[in-house]
Amino acid sequence: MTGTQRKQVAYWSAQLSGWGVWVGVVMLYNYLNGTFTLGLVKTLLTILLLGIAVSHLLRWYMHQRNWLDLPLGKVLVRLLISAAILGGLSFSMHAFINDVFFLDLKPMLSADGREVFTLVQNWTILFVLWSFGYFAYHWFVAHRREELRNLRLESAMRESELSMLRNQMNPHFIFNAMNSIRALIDEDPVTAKRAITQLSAILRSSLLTGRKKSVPLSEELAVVRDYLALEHIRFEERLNVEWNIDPATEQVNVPPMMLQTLAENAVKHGIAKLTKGGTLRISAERGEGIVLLTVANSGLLDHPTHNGNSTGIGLRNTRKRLELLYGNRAELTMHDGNGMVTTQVSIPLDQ
Amino acid sequence: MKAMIVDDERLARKELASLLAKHHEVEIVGEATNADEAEKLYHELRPDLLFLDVNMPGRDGFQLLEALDPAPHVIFVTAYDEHALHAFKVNALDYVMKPVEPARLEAALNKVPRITEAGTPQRDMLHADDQIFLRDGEKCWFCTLKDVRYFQSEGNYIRVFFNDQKPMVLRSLNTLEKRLDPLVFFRTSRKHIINLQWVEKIEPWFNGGLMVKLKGGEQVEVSRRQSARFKELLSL
Repeated sequence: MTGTQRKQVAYWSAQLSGWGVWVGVVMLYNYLNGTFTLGLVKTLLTILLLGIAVSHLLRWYMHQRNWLDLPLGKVLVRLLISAAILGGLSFSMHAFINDVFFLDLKPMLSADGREVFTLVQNWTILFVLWSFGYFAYHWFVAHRREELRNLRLESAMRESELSMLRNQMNPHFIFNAMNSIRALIDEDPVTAKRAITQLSAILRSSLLTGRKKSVPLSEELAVVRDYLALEHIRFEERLNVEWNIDPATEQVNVPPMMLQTLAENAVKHGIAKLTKGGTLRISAERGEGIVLLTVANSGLLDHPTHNGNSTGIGLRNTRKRLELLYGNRAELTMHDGNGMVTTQVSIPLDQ
Repeated sequence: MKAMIVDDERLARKELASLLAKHHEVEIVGEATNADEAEKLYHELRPDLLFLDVNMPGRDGFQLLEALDPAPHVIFVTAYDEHALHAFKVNALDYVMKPVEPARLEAALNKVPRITEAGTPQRDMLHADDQIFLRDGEKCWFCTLKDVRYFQSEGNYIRVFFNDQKPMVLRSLNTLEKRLDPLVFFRTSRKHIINLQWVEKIEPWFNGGLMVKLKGGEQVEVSRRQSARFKELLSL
């Protein structure tokens, strides 16, 4: 069953059961009061058919005019006016049918003013009640849909947050570092001890990342220094690092673990793939209203291979983070040339 | 047992060597830092066992193994690599994780069949009991040649039919043919090499060729040119 069909079924069952229940209740009330007559049945059936027909007409008109999208106040005014008009219309039709077909019942067209007013009022109240039911249902459904959408949005956001955290804690790096440190314990206990402290510092800042929106660049640089010191233990002379940090950038606020992610990418996709190793250059400089972070590594740009889909995740997440934090005021670019792959992030200063 | 360590990190090699020190049956005869070095050293030293890091610059551990026929006994050593772990788990290749647990290393060593004092003989011919390493996408196999029913050439690749598997691997049928034992494997046409031990029935076919039915139900055509040689071989 399609969505439209489901809506049709829901509408007609509500329509028929609503009017049916109302007629049933009136009949029961009269029956209990001993005023139940055949004439009453005829009148109620007429009202039932007229009510369904006229309210259906109202629904059609509301849809034509998109009343469901109007603000509450405007809808209310329109509904009250149309309920009154339709009340009058329904009364006229009811009276006509009554006087033409049911000659045994009391004529209605010739009724006095007060009686006519009461009957028109009753019809109007019926339509007002009908509309309330109709709108309440629609608002309820729309509200629920909205709620569902919010829940989905929330879970999608949480998921991306998690994948970002997973990305920040690269298990391959951690286990390799542990392995190197294990070997280092015999060879050079002093360096081994320092390495454990450095690894702890990285794990700590990685765990804290989720809670902080930004950190001073100097703090981020400390993490990257620890990280590269550990990778240097692993790669030894194959990893050569050059720093070029403008002191004026050290207090600038940057997103935590972002430069770290770039450095990790450069090692993973650059240095680690070179048999003879290579150079990693990290620089930070101030531009007009921005801070420019650059990570360059020996090597060529990764070409997407048939089995390597992990290549772009770090960068993609970084781009997403930048967009969430700064909109279009931040930028990440990547290019290669002269045997170096250069990744650059420009972040606005006004924070 | 002669063993070789292949890992691009000096400390990782040192760590493994120190863990292996108490296993007197294992003698480390060589260390290599990348696949090219390892391949050269392997042919020189003919080790019985390879400790192989999966992630290395240049060719990775799997690519190295594809170049080594017959495949040596291998214990993979890896830090954490989802792709590699998947390949290991699917096909029960033996591996240890960095940092290596001594108990886990011992268990892996115990699974290596005891090799006679003479060591692996120097030979280029691949025997039916030899293993070759096959990789198709994320999946890897050590495949014993006697289990292979036939090889089929598909462009630059060959498809290997063994057990219920038929991976497609980047190898050349011509190169393979030169290394296979001619008493077991026969080149039926440009497209196929069959394992004679799997032949069930032979029927005459068009143009003086033959159709070979293999145990397992597959049929492979023998070209006219090869049919005479085939008959000769079988009549022996």
